[in-house]
Amino acid sequence: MRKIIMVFLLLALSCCLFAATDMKEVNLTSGEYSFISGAFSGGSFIGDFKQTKAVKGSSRTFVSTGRIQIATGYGIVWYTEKPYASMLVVGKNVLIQKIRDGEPTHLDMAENPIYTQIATSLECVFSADFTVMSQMFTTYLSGDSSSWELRLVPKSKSVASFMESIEMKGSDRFESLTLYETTGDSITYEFSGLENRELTDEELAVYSL
Amino acid sequence: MKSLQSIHSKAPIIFILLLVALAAAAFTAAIISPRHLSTSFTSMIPQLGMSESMAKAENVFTERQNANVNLFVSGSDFDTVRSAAIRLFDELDECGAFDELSLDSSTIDTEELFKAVSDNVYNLLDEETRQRIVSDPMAFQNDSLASIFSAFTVSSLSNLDSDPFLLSESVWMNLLGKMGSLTTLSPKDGVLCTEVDGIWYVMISGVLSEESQNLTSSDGGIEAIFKTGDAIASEFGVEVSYSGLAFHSHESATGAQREMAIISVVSVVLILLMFFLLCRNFHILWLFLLSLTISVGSAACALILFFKDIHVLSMIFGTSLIGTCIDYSIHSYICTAQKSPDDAGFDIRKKIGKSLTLSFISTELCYFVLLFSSYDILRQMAVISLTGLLSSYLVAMILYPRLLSERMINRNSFVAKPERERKLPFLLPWLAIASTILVLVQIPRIGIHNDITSLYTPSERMLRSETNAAKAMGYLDTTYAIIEGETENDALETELEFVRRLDELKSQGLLDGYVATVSFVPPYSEQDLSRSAAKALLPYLGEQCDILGIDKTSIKSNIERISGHYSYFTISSLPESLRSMIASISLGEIDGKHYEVVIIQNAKDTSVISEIASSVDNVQYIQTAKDTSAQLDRLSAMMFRLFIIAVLAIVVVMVLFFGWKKGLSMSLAPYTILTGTIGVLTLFGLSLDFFVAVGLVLIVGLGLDYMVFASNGKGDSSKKAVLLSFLTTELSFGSLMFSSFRPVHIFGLTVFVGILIAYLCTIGASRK
Repeated sequence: MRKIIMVFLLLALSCCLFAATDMKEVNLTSGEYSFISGAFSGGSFIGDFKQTKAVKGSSRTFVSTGRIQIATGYGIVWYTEKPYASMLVVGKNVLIQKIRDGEPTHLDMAENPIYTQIATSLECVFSADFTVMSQMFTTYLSGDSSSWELRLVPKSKSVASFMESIEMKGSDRFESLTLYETTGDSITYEFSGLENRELTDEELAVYSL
Repeated sequence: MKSLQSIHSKAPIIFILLLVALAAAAFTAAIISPRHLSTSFTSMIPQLGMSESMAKAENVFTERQNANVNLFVSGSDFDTVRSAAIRLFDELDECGAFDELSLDSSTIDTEELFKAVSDNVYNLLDEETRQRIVSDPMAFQNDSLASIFSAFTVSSLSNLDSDPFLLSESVWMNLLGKMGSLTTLSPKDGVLCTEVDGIWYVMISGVLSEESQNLTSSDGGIEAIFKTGDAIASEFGVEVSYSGLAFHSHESATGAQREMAIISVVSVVLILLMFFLLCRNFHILWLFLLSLTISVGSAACALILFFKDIHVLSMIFGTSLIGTCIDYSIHSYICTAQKSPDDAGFDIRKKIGKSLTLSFISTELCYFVLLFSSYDILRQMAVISLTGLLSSYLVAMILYPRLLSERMINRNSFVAKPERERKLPFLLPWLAIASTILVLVQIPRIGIHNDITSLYTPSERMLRSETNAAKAMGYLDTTYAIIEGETENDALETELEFVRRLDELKSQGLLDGYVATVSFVPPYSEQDLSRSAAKALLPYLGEQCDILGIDKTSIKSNIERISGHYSYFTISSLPESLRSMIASISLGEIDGKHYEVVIIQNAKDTSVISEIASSVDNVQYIQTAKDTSAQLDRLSAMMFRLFIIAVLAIVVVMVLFFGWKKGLSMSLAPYTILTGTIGVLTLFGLSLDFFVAVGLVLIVGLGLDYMVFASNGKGDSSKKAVLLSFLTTELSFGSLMFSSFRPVHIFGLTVFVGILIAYLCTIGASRK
């Protein structure tokens, strides 16, 4: 009986939470929600990010800053600058890491099918590819063009085994993204100064290091 | 004289008692230790240089592989393909053909894996990480901080208290990379799939139940899978492909069964028609059936009594007994048909006794030599033939004189009518010369060669299925090596040594990859090195904890975790979901030793791998098709050698029975049969393979019977018997050459050609 009451309470709580944020399941490809895609620069862009990693069961957070580079079809590059320099390239079939001044390392994990799914998920989210996003996630939306919040829940069991959900916030521009991991940890990226432009050859070269 | 008569009168009872005793002994032996019928062609052929225990491990692996099947549902629209696959999965799950069935077999229980990595992180550091730590621990500490603050980590930062240097990150990266070798398909929406050239492939993998693997089951497991798959394919407009040895075996076996049934019915009808035309009744059939039942029954009992693992090929070879049973029955019957009214049954026996005995001895000699072979399959063939033939001989000598009666003979029939004697030229030497010339001309093309891959041609459906499977799986060719160790750790140590050499080949592009247990479970020596490398970080632990805000109590527990007592990570420590993924290659303990298998994908040059395997102790590299063909070559060569010894022994027996001149002259027959058949078969472009060798044993045995009966019989009675015997053998065995199942076709063709030559030799030798 206690179990039934607990389940009921949890269901009620989750309903309240969704009600509070007014989240509803949406089909992003329907064309109604172009204000979200308009918030993204489209194509390729470069900007600054502030990353906050929160750890479950601890008040400890790990904050770092740097620049982010996104090119549709190529992948995402994080140039973490402070407090410790590193670089991470996440492409569909490539995962390159460079720690401090070391040599870039190609990680075997890139061959893992689960990794490919995660990489595709991240790329479609960062580049606002609604078609791929709808294939990979169940999407919930609240707000309007002045301030919106998009919640993505992975459909694939494999992706869901790593990430519980993604929360994106924006207005006329894409502002932040929080990735909730199944472990209870979370990573929040806050973006600023996003600049939409063609990437230089030098910038593109990083995908094929 | 009285005692001799008493033996004569009691002989049938003694014979029947002996048969009952043999059956009882076989039954008891089978009860005490159940017999196993092996259908695998390779299982009875011991691999050269392979220990018995290694061969056993190979059998275990092969059996597991035989049970593993994959079905691919494919089409251009992912949702349709996925729906069809889910429906197919549900229906197959209900049909009971599988022990295990999975639609998303690569789904790893991440929570379980996180825990396993977290608990054993200090044992699982790979070589590169260890080197980075040991060469510059301070730099590694800084790198770990950079990782913690980097954009993305696979491992959870919530474990930093117990893993302050985030060593689990490198373990995870390594592990996930290695897991990629287990499948090239990706999980998507609850199915395992891939897209190739715009076509989606969804895989369903399963382990067939033992019952559904039964090749003779026409409406059982595999047939049900085909039916279900085809129905789903037409309902959803998708394609269903079937990949796995069991599907090929089933299709080949059912195809062969259907074909054999048609050939058997046609040949039986023709034989019955012939018997009716020549004997004008079917009484000869009763004699034949009695002889065949006793002969086959006693042969099967002897096989069960002496062998624990009985191969289906030995049983098939046992059908050659039909030939001898027919021969003995025909000779006894025709001799009775031609007897004078005063002759009793025992007088008939006296007339054909010598011929029967000589024929029996010469044929037994052909089979007897096979007993000395080192191959179980040949010894089984020898036992089945020796016992069956002995029974058949005893039936003719003991039971027929009592059973054959005047009322069984139609005096108006062809076989009962005496015919005028015709003078025939003595052609045997000319036939011998002709066959010698033929063989000499063909010498450049004569050779012992077996190619197991040429014995089976997949149907169009199976060929298309395997092509689709290869497209989806991304690799076409796999070979494997078996690793043996006294313990699990010994095997893993050896496996590591072997895969390190494979890594070198991989880096040179000589192979695409491999699947090995050691990729997930390092041996103890590696785990010790991992621990030792982690210890190098201890001087930096305090500073690391200060930077990350980890409290002092965690520092103490970390020192204890890194440098204290530890237990090793073993195969049983792997999460269940990962362990089940490598279950087919981790064979475990077999007869007190531990075995692992390394699957090698797309090796460009197998001889290099073979060299590597032979340089590492306790590693056996297997290339099934190549190894089996080579072993069949040795087996065939041995059969030919033993056969020559048998023929020489027959010459001695002939000389002893018929004297020098006639004996040697008759010995031209086996020579001509052998050389003539080999020459003609080579003319048809055939190599001397195992099935030719098996056919030759039969034709020389039967061919000699013709010679013996023709030369020792009385005029037309023996000639008619030989003609009848020749026609029945051609109709029963020769008709097998019409089979599309290559081994049967080769055997049938050999018998057809050989028996024809044997008959010509008999005609050519019957000089009056």
